[in-house]
Amino acid sequence: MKNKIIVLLMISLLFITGFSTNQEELVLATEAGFAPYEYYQDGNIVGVDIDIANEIAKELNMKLIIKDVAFDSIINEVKTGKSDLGIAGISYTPERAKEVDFSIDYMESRQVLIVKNNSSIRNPRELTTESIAVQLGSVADTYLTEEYSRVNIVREKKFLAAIQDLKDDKVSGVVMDEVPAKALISADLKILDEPLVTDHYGIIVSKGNEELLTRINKVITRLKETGKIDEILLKHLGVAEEKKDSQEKLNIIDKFYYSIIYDGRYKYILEGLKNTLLIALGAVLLGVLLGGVAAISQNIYDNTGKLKLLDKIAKLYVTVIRGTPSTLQLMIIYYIIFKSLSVNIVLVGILAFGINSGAYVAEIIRAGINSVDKGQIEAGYALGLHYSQVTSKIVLPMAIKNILPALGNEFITLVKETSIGAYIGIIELTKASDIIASRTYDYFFPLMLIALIYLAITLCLTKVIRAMEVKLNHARS
Amino acid sequence: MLEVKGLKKDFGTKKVLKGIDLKVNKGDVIGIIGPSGCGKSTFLRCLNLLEKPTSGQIILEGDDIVDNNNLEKIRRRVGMVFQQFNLFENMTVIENIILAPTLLKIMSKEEATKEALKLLDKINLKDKANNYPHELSGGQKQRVAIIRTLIMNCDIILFDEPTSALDPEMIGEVTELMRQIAKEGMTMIIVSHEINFIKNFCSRVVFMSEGKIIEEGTSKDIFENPKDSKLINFLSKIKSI
Repeated sequence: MKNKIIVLLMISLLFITGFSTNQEELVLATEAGFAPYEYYQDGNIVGVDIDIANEIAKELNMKLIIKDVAFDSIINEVKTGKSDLGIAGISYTPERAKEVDFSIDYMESRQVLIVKNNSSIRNPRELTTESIAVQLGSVADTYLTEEYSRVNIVREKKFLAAIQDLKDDKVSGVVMDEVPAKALISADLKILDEPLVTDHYGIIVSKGNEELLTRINKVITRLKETGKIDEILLKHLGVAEEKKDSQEKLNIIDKFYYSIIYDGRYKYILEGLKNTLLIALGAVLLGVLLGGVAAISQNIYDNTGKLKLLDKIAKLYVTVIRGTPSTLQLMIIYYIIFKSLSVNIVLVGILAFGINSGAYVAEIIRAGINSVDKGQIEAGYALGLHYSQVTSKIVLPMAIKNILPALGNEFITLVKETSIGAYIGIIELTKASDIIASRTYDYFFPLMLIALIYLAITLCLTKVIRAMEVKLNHARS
Repeated sequence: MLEVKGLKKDFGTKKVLKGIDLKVNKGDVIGIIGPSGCGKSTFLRCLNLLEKPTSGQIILEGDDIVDNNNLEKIRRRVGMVFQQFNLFENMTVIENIILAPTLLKIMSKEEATKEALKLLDKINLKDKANNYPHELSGGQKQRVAIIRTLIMNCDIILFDEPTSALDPEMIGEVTELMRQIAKEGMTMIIVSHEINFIKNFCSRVVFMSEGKIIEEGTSKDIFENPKDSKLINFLSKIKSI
């Protein structure tokens, strides 16, 4: 009991002392997969919104720190104070305004309908029961849901996936902002002239942060008056379009080159691989520690009646963790437990996945212990051995044979599960491929490459586990 | 040396032992027979407290052991040999034998190893000392299990169906070892279906049925001059096989 608390305290202390907030930084939350507003280039996040954010940081004389998180998480980031402001082509809605404060508009956005050139749809108002793809949680999503209730809305995480759906004839159209729409469409697609709705983008800050808001508004006004904002937009639109045009005529080798090698894009994959392995390894170690404590304390209580409280805590821990989605746990740990602390997100990932894994490891160990032949345990007791001697000399050595392969499988699961780390902005393998695809508009190579990497890791691990099994079986059949 | 008084054991609402009284003297070799489910094995398991009796007394050398808190100390004195041998499969033969005496600091590792090898030599299994249990035959496993109990220098050894899991040709080597141990003066209680072995080997025989001792006497009394109708019935069924 005491030991566990101490371990938890020490871990918390590590986080608190090591990573306290620096006042000189201006933290921006965005999702960098939305060219030309925010996207990756040469390993950096750039775009219209980033340029605006830099103007604001300059005005405030602060250092801009950019956090790349899921679009759905941006409001939460700002609301909880983990980020100072959010700029991500966020348009004003009354719902959002309840959670955060909006600046004056810095950009007018028109929600347009993209269709295939040969489509019979001429005007967005003609939409009835067609399937239309949108980005999940975007203005288009909200607007269609409310105003076009009969339309079958296909919600994709990325604009690019929505466009792909259209190309594959899975949907009849895509609704999105006009500016990125222009950047994303290819020769076989067109944008209908009439917009569904015209919207206005604003910058969000936490409720009541008047000081920051006033200064942001001042910057926006200046950028608008000097025409700088249009300049910025054109600059980034040009980049995005140029990249796309050159992409269209590429053969497969060029596509591979552009997806993986050009611009050092493999570095995203390497960074992703490093983080994926780091998190999985850290999490499995923490998981074995927590799961071991949970399983052993339950076993001690079952056999000796001691450690009743720890047994109860362990049971509650296993039930709660196994009964809730890991994505939710990750978000709770990041947005609630580490709410006001600026922590290294890879450490948050290790902690979250480790706590999650511990519950499963506890069950793996419990099952391994239960699988040990009762007769041999009884023989140990009959010889006059104590519970601790029977457990350490007979039960655990035999249980390990059953535990180890299952633990290996848990590690394999963890390697793949780390992909949800992207929710809080961890650049792991899946996120890395996303970043590349958001630049090349081509999912094929990045996705295939990381699929192969996942597969390679899994195969290697499987081999290691098999070798261990053989060794264990050799010694004790 | 061992006296059982009014021993009862319930599993939930099921009364398995309904009051057992038995007196065991040093050097006795007692056989317990009876139909399946009569409580023989449960009785044996109560004697070394693998099952906690519901009520009654078990007096070992003057001490009531039922409510004794030091289970481990008592179990050291009451050895047990199981039907399924229950050798520790993760340990070699010699490790199986020396585990308890060294862990419980009864002997040093050297002493225990020396003693174990001496005992293994006695049963011609010295060359198997470093083999794992799965490399042994059933008869060899059971003999190692007996040695593992013997090295503890118990006051009494309980045998729970020691030959039931063996192929017929291996029963002899195990019963032979048991005879040898009995000859050396060990007190033994044996639950077995090997009626002929019980008949020829045990100095006293106890017949149990439905959780009670129905008849008790010398081997001759029980097998040649049974009195209770349940015992007569039981013996006739066995003979007919």
